[in-house]
Amino acid sequence: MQAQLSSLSGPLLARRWVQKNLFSNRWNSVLTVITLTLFAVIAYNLLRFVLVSAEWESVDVNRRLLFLATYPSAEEWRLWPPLWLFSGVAGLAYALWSRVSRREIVILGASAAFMFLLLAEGSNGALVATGTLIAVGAYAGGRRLRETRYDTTARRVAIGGGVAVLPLALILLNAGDGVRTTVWGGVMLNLTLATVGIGFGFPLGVMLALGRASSLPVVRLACAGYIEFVRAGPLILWLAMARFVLPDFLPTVGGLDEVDLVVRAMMVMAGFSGAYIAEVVRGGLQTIPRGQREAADAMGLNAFQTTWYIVLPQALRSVIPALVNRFVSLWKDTSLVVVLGFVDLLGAARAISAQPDFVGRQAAALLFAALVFWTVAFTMSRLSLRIERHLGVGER
Amino acid sequence: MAAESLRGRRLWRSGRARRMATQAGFSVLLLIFLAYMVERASHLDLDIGFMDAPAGFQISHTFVFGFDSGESRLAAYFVAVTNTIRLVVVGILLATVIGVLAGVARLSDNWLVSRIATVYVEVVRNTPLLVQIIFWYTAVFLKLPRIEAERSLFDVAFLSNRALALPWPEPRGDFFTAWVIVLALALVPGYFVRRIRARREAETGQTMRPNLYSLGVVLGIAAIGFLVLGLPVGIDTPTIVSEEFTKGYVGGLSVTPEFAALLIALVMYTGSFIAEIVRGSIQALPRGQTEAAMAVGLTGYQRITLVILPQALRSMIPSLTNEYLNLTKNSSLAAAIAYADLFQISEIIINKAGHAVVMFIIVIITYQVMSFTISAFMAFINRRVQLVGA
Amino acid sequence: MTSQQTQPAQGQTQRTGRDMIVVEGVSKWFDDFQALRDVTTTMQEQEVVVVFGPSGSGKSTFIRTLNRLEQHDAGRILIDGIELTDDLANLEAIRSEVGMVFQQFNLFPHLTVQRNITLAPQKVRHLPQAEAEELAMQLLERVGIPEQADKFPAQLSGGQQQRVAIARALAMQPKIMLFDEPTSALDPEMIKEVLDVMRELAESGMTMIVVTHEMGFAREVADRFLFFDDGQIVEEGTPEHFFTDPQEDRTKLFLSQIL
Ligand SMILES: Nc1ncnc2c1ncn2[C@@H]1O[C@H](COP(=O)(O)OP(=O)(O)OP(=O)(O)O)[C@@H](O)[C@H]1O
Ligand SMILES: [Mg+2]
Repeated sequence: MQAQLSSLSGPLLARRWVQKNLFSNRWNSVLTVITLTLFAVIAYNLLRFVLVSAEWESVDVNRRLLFLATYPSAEEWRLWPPLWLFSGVAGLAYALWSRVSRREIVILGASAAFMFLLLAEGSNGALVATGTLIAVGAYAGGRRLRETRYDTTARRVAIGGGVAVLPLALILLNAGDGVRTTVWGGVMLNLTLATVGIGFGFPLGVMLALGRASSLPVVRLACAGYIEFVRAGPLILWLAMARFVLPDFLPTVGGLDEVDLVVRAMMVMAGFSGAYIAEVVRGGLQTIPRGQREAADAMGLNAFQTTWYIVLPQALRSVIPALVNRFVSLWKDTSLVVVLGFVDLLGAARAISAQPDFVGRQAAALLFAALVFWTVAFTMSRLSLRIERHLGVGER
Repeated sequence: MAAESLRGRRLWRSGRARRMATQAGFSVLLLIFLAYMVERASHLDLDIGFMDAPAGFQISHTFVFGFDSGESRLAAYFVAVTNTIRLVVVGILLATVIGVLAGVARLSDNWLVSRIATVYVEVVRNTPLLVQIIFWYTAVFLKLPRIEAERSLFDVAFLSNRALALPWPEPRGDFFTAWVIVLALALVPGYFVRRIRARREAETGQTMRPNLYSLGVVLGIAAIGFLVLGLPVGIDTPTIVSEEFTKGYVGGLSVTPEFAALLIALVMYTGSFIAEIVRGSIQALPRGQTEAAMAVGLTGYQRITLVILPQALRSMIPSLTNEYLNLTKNSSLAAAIAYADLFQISEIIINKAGHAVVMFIIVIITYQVMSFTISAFMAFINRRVQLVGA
Repeated sequence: MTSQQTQPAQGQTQRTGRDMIVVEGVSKWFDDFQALRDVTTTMQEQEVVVVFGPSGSGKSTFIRTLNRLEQHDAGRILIDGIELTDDLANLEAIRSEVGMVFQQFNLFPHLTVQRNITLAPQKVRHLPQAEAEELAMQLLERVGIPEQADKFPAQLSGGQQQRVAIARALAMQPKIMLFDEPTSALDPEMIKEVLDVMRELAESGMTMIVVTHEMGFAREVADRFLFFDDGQIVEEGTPEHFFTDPQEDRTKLFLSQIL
């Protein structure tokens, strides 16, 4: 059979394939014709739009607006170190925790290159290149260290570095005179909101989930109450609360009469994703057999040790895909801050249609914004499928 | 003195005492927090009276109930709630259809079909819903020709950036009630025919086609009704009317571009998630099911509708419920393109009258009631499905 | 308790040691259901006691109260002179004196074999890592699988997993070991390797309480049998007593079923 197949000439093989996969029976043939027509119509319109009617110029001349919006050029130096650190951590983590797959490396590399080459303007090219080099270097280094004596150390460095990205960014953004949050914008704002949302929302979610599983009724009720209350309303409502209501409830510290809106939006993002992450983690906690706790108890580990060394590592690992889904959702949800009037990526894309040169023509910019959101989201969800089961192996 | 300190230490070392202490400490913190919140809230005006004042604004989208700016804010909110419900109900129905189709299509033997379904799912579910809504609205529906230069399909349906106007069935006055009665009566013999034939099939083993026969009976009676009473519904086609300053459609079903954009975006987005759920639960079925269905000679279509989907449905319901709740909450993004849903109207009321805290509490309660209704309905369906399967 | 009968220690190896476990009138309820009924017994240092009886008779509940995985509702339990109470310090002491091996192994699947063993010594006894690892290797040596140290539990056979579980319990250097049906989740060909380890342990002078229905092993190793039924000790005595001259009808019936 195998020999027969391979002795067939190319066109014949192709015909067989088409017959088997597209026209295997009457019903399938009809289906193929219908979908083909549909596909042709959509593809034609899309192509015509992309190649003919879309004004890509509106994206091209507005790259800085889409990337950083009103963020001042003179302060850009503050952004690069955290980005580099992030690139390094990403490369290292990918090398250490994922299986080898050329395809994913290509996806990852292409999406990173796409993001930055398209968004960053000329003078930033060298800085982008540095970031890419760091990522590649970290990946190569990680591959070497993997499963050697230094494996654990490398993993610790990766985790530590990942944890440090957010503080580093916040410190740099506020160092010296700092950059007022009101000028934050573009993709950077989405990235910052997402990082803060994950960075604070994840620990919050884990604590809420543990609280909800606690044997102390007051703790359990309070955590369940918080989770359900937050999940009762849509995110856009909580963001509106951040604008209209939160100022009345936040304490006024250090002479500030009002915590500024960007920070309030971050608080909402973290609090909101915390509630959803808690539900995911709770699912993971429920998968842990009772015997695991009993064995830990019998060995004399205390409640904290049992949770930290035995329960949480297993619970989190069992819900990695769902967790990543939450992160993807959070990333997509950062676009909702336009309702607060922020000029994030989506806000910038909409703002373009108000520019004299491009009045009312925002389709191209919108499509571009969609593509950027999509690339990051798609990359994340793809990677989650590949993360190894043995996350956090060899805790030694 | 010494004894006392010993007792103190005992107490602290006692597991129960420590749990109590932790709880007490936590409760105190919680109470302080709540007290703080209440203290802050006490500075606010929590009176609900502002909802009775005249709204002072128009609502651009109404449905079933009209609205006039002189009516109260409460009435405006009520109209907005009906708008949300309309979006959610239609959205859930269509999203389920799209989702099931795409989910089954992803597993199709047909290469082209499964690929296109995959692309649809991966593109749509990884793009923010808000971007999609704005895209459909500004780049598609607002780009439709102005009403003067509308596009029409055979002069019965019209597309323009003012509205989508479609022909729609309309009950024909006098005889409609009579028709409803005839149909209701037809169901009775239909039911008995089905029962009798089903029982005979079970007893004798012969194919008695109970569903087909009972359908035939009902349709037969309906046909007689038609001969006697005439058509129950007419098709109402929209026509353009031009008044002095405004042009618009009369008759038929006309939907605003805002509603259409929202509905399409919500349906496509939720549909992509439902497709994944459908695919997941079909794949989770043991392979033996498909093989057994093949072995007894069922065709592909029969395999899916008789064996695979009914089983997959059972494991799907919880996740499906979750997606419906998400759709409900996501309908609030309507505010971004000024469709008068409950969230947008509540924001308008806040802008006009303040009282944000009270307004938001009302909004949360409204969403909770809707979520609860959907969950309860799905729980009911779930019970039915589980019973049938048992 | 009329049915309870304490046999004179005839032919029983009289250990010189002190009382290691004292159980006085212990009862335990799960809601309305009484799982233990006024259980009283004493076990001495280096004694090996085998507990057996029908399913649901309270054997597991009994040995789980001994390290307070279950709390008893009435009566007193003294472990090496320390009373089991709500006192956390007592509990800490007892947990490190009493090791336990479960029917389902309950190894930590996300940790290597070695890490499974070193975790508690490092975190509870605050042993330095190097020492803990050395101890782990010694114990793995003792249970016969030193070469598996870096594998994960899922990569081992059931018998090997149970031996790791024994090593893990021994790592806390307990004075008492509890075994709850350690071989009943194992394939027949693996039972022996686990029993061999337990036999060696018994010979080394460990105080052991073993729930098992491996009667051959039990007869060979045990100093004393406890027969449980309906939450109480129905009969108690040397293996010889049970095999030659059981007194209670329930005991006779049960033995006739399993032998
Ligand atoms: N956590 C619990 N909640 C309620 N009832 C329980 C619980 N644990 C045990 N029981 C009940 O207590 C009785 C004794 O259970 P136990 O597990 O001690 O029996 P066993 O002698 O070990 O049986 P087996 O040989 O099947 O292991 C049983 O009837 C059981 O149903
Ligand atoms: Mg048991």
